[in-house]
Amino acid sequence: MQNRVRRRDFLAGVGVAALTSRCNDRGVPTSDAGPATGAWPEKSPALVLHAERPPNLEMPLQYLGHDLTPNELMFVRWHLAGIPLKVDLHTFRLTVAGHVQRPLSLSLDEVQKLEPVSLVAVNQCSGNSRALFSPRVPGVQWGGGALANAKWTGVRLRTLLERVGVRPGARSVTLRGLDKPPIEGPPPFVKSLDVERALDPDVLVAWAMNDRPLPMLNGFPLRLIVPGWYSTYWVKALTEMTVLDAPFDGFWMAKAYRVPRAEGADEAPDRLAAETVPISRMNVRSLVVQPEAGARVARGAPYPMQGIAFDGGSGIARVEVSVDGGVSWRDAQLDPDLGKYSFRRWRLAWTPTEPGPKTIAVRATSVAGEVQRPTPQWNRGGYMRNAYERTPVVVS
Amino acid sequence: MRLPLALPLLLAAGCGRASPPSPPDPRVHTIVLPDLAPPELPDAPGRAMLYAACSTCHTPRYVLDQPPLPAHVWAAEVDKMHDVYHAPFPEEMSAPIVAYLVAVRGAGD
Repeated sequence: MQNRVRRRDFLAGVGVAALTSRCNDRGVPTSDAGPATGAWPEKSPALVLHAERPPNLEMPLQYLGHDLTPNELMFVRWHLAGIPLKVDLHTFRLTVAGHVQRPLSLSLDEVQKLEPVSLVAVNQCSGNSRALFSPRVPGVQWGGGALANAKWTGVRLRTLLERVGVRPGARSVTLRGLDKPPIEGPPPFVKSLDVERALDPDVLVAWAMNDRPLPMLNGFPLRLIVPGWYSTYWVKALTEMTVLDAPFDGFWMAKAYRVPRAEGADEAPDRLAAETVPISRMNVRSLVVQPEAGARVARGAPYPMQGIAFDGGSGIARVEVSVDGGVSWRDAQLDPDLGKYSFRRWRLAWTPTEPGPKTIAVRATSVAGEVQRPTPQWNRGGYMRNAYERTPVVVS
Repeated sequence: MRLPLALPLLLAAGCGRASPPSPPDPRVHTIVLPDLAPPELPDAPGRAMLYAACSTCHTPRYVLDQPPLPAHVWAAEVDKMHDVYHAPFPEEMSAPIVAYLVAVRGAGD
């Protein structure tokens, strides 16, 4: 009965959505994605539904108020409908083979007996904030919530590669999970890293997120963590790695998740870039968490503005905030550093003096000296947005 | 003194008669996804073809998640699904599917 009611409400919601265009938190029309009605296993009902098959679920931006995103709130993104619904640890194996001296096949227990390493790292979808692109581009219409930060614990990929003994001439490592295309035909989701990147000591094969097993929808039992890089490389339910003596040219590297080679991943809709490269390192970004877009802020009292900033692994050096739409800027205070791959929380008190609409803007500078761009880039994939984000509020 | 002794015996006998359900194996992890009905797409010519061609691999909600897009962008999406993802539909279905998508999610070129 309860289920029937839920489904009826859900269908009614879809009907409304089909008639009225939805807006994201910045007042930009996004899509007809509805609320995630239905109980997604190990996930919060607060997540927003983009698709149920395969599951694509987004975290509302207010939850960026957590320094470490609770496991239940981390966004969910799968490409192929054949996602793992059952993992039998009696038979599950992680294999490392190919251009190696001693191929390896390990149970989860065996992986967990290797030396564990923990680090905090941002998990951000390549297409996060795609819904803000202008002109609009196809793809999952993420607002800003395909973004999370967590403590990851696992074994270094490097340790596994040392065990198998990578042979001279090795160029790349392919990464494959348990997910499958629902029919014969579509290319299986296989990604790859160059051997040099794979040997980076911060790349982990993780079994824990925030000290707990990964939710199935986030990659139980093992997930690759490539700190500083977009989550397309963070292969979920990782089960098969193959070392190649050539670059990997599978669909998900050669055709998908590619960005213009140009600085800022920029191209023009009427002059698409001739040359593209696989997406890789995240650019520097910051977001306002409080106040939320459209909020009323009281005049004459200090308002504690706060938000997050992160980059592709150098760390955050500086965050500046403007309350006049980007004309003048003040330095925000930064909370303690949780690691160079982590969210860095910024805070700034603001005492508005005049009533009326105001636009808060925020920009971050990385330790490496990268600054966010004042105007958004555009590319056909809707990738790598990192312009200053602007949050409209009303002082009253 | 007899009663306290008899109780455990009775309990033990009770346990022996009922066949205990086998506990779930903690080493087998399973999830059940919510039974969400896919949305009904707006009615327009080509809808049945879109359902037939696309919904084997993904929910038709993918269409509703998209913003209005120009016809050439929709055509490129459908070509990609056909040529690269090997979606199970003959090429001659591409044009009516693109026409449907433009009708329900089209933007000026």
